[in-house]
Amino acid sequence: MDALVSRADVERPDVLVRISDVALSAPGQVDRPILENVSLDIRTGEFLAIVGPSGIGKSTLLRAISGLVAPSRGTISAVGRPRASGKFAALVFQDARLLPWRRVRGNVEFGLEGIVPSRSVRRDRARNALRLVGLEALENRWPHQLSGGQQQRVSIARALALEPELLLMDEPFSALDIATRRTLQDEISGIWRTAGATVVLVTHDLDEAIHLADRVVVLGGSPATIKDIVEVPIARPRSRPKPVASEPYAALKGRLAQHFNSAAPSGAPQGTDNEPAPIGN
Amino acid sequence: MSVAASSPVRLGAVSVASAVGFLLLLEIVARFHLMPATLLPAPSSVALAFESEFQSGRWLANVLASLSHYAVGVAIGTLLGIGFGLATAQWPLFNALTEGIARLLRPISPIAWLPFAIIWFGIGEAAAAFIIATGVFWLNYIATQSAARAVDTDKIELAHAFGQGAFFTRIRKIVLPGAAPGILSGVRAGVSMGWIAVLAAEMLGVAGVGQRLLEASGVLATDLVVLYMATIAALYCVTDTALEWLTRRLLPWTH
Repeated sequence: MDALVSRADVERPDVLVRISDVALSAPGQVDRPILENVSLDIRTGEFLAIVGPSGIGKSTLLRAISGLVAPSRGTISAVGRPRASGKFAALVFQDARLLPWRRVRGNVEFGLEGIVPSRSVRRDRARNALRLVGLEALENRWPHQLSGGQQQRVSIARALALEPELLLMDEPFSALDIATRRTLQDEISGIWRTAGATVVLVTHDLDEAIHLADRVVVLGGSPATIKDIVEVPIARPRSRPKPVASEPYAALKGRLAQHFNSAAPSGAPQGTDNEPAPIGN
Repeated sequence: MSVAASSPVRLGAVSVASAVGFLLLLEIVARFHLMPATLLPAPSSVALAFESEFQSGRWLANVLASLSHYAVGVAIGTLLGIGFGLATAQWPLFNALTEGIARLLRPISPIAWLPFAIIWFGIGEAAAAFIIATGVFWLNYIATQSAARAVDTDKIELAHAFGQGAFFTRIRKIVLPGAAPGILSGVRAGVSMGWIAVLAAEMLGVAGVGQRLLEASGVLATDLVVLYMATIAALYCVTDTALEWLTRRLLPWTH
């Protein structure tokens, strides 16, 4: 995918997104924040994982970064700018969320329809994105004719077709079987290296976070805050380790797990991870 | 039942054989005077009545007359029903404004509107189309409203996330295609209701198959009554089959 391959010629800031003292609440409950005092710089080109127990507010934070929900306090500012041909941020949902009335290519073109007037350019970009996820041969299939893994690949292609500076992924592998999940994790890792986009991945799978990310942000508490930010010093390309045999890996996982186990919210507003947000952008 | 016994061809043959058997039974009952012909006409006398009506040109004239106000009434009722159903599903304020009125008017039978149809439009095509439209409207209104409300909110969020969240863009790209199966079910039910309403509409005295049927029943010409009942059934079959074909063309992802 030529447009995604080289970004070295584009002048890019060190920090792509700055999150400053952000609080997030469920709609209509401003006085009961889900997250608060969240400050974080997302570095340009990094692969950042956000981990934490279910219901802690990871997905809400991701939606706030994407602009789907507004913070009740603080600011989320894009330091970088979208490329002329694309969108600043693109979101991959936990479920593939394909439109059943559109064929595979139509689904990938969906986000392009607002920014690329030319039908032939949209078609070419959709085909390139499908090639990147290995599904160019299935462009005329209906979503129901695909497996779960293929559907999720299409949803990743839909986001990649936008050529985003920032790719936001909300537990995109959690509904897949272990073999498909590992294959897609490796594919995403490869695409990230090739495309040069910045990736923020929400997950509750510590192995996934360590395998893919440069840094791991741990959310915990109620309301949730950032409990730790851990650099992952394991060289790339990363082979899938035998975790217990790898000392740095085991140490990292132990540090994350320690936060993870004590991070579960208690009695606070929960279950907001996947709430649809009625806020436009 | 074995697979061979339930094959489509065999089941089709059983269906045709049962219909033919039923007609034969009716013929035997009439031929042997087991029931008076005025109570139950023989299928052969219905066929003769058809031949007579067709050759006189009355059958075709009545069918065309009914089709004329049926098409206008169904088109108006369908379009308004879909439009209002969609509007109430998408605009809470519009729904609040119209919900009470809708609850009052919805249970009223198309026949109950006959006096107003005559007062407002006079006895003619417009009044007949109005009666048909009132019957068709509510089926489309309810089907569209329910289908549009049931569109997955995740899909709406997707539209926002991918820059397609503006109101009319969202309606065109998410709500209408997402609700299309339900909307088309309403259209299909409306097409059926339209033929029921034709009979009511032609009670006004407007020419058509319904009026001819009522005339025939007044003089106990039951062969003609059955002929025009069968005509309405056949016209319904044609319109329903056409709509089923259209639905399959419009919603290829559903099968």
